[in-house]
Amino acid sequence: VSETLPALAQIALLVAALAVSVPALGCYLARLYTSERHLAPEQATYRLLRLDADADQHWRSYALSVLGFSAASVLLLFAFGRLQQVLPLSIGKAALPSDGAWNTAVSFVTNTNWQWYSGEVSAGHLFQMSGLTVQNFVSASVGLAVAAAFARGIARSDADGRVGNFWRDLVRGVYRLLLPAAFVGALVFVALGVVQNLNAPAEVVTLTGQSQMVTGGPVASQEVIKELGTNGGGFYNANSAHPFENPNPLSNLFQIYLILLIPFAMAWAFGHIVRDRRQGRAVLAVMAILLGVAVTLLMVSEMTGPGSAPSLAGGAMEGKEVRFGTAGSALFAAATTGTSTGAVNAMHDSLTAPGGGVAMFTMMLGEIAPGGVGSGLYGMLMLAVVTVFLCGLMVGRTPEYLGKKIGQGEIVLVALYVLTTPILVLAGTALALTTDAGLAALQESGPHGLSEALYAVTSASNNNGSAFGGLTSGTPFWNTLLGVCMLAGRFVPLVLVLGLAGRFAGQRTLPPSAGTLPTHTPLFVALLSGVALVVVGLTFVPVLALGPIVESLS
Amino acid sequence: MEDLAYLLLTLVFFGLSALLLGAIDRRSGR
Repeated sequence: VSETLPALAQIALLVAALAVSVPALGCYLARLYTSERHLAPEQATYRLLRLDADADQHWRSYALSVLGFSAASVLLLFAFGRLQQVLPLSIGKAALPSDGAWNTAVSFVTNTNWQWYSGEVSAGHLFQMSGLTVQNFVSASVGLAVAAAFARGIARSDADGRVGNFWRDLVRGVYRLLLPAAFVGALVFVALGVVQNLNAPAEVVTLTGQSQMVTGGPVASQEVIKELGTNGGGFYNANSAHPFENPNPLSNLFQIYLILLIPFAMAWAFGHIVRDRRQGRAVLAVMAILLGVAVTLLMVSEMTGPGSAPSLAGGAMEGKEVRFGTAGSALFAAATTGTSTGAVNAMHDSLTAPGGGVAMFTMMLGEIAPGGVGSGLYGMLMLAVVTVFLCGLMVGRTPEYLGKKIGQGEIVLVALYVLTTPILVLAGTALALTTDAGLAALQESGPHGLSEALYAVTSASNNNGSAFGGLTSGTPFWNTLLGVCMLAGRFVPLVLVLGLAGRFAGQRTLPPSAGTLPTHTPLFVALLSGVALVVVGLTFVPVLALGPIVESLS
Repeated sequence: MEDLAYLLLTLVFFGLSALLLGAIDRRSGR
């Protein structure tokens, strides 16, 4: 049976569901991050933790709060991993090794969820629930908070660099958005057949008479925030390819919907926060165009995979689950790499060479299509500033974005932002490929081996977390390298974004003039899409040529 | 010993991030 019709049906259903829910959620998010009213549970939390949620923080205080909170989270989760064997509900799991515990702590605090370990083998229930899942909520909320602060920085005028209150944004993101949505979503997952219990592993006898341990656990509750918060860390090593996490095509489509929902809604919310809805729609349109291109390329390459075996099987089925098929796998792969999710429902190592290249390129875009929760919006806005600056200079227009001048100080911050991740990716990959410890972890040699290393470092530096497979990453070298990439890939851009937010907030908003480049028109949407592709293309095409491109030509 | 090394690495990274923040702030203050 041809997969084309089910593929188109899945896309149509997904687009319809997003079209209905994104505007409503976007309006809700805008109110959430601009309202002055606190709810009772929030006030109780502020009192308990002695937080001043009414202080309007300077961007410097806001950024220090983010860094302090994240540093404490890394250290706490590191200790959790090292001590899990003495904690309740450890179900016999030993402590993680030092490098592994640190990598895991960094991975979950940075919203990356790169997993060097098998969840069902290494992580006890309490570590999964109180350590990893809690970070899935708060790391997502940190990303949303920073995006909201950036949007407020643009919307404010003469605010002396004040961008809001981090603690208020953090708590509201968890209490008003992620917790209620995750509760409902977890129930939907349970109804669709995802496992949810606190059982120890059960021993079963297989049809061939072998003994096998089957691990249950709080899977549905972790699964929902894994997707909703664009985290990606699975309860099981097989992630969303495991039938206990993702049992059928409907649960697969629901997972993709959850992955894309908040990143798109944040773009909508942006339009409301800056009091010009057209701006939000323009940003959303660029996200949708880039994602649409990635989905199309991935689907075509996987459904018509090269070689006789794929043509006989009706698609490149190696490494894919039969219950999802090539279309369900390709759609998932585009969504998970276009956001900072990193969940996988198929082996990305088995994607066709062009398909693997598209997955990598989508991550290299900086995950702006539509990106991680919060990070997608601020990543896209940074590129919008680049576009305004480049195009404004080319046509002789004043470089300004939404009434904020783009001067030397602003463009330096944006340039540093744009350069940070490529430096991490290219230098990290070079380090891995020039050291024995790095090379020893590769399964393949030649272009595919390069792709394995490049994908891992790209995934970590962009806080994606998906794994190509084939790479034995649980070694001290790789755990440390990828940990540093995750930290720098998250917090250096974040400080730069908040610095720019502060500069914008300190400026007086200029009224549009005849010299202003409109940033809500189809022309600007095309320009921004082009700038994203050109900037990333110029940076990464050489290394892609050595990996997936040369592999697909051979 | 290894635990201490990773603890230090974490503190050094966040310390450097705070320095970056300070540098941006000083530049903005001009």
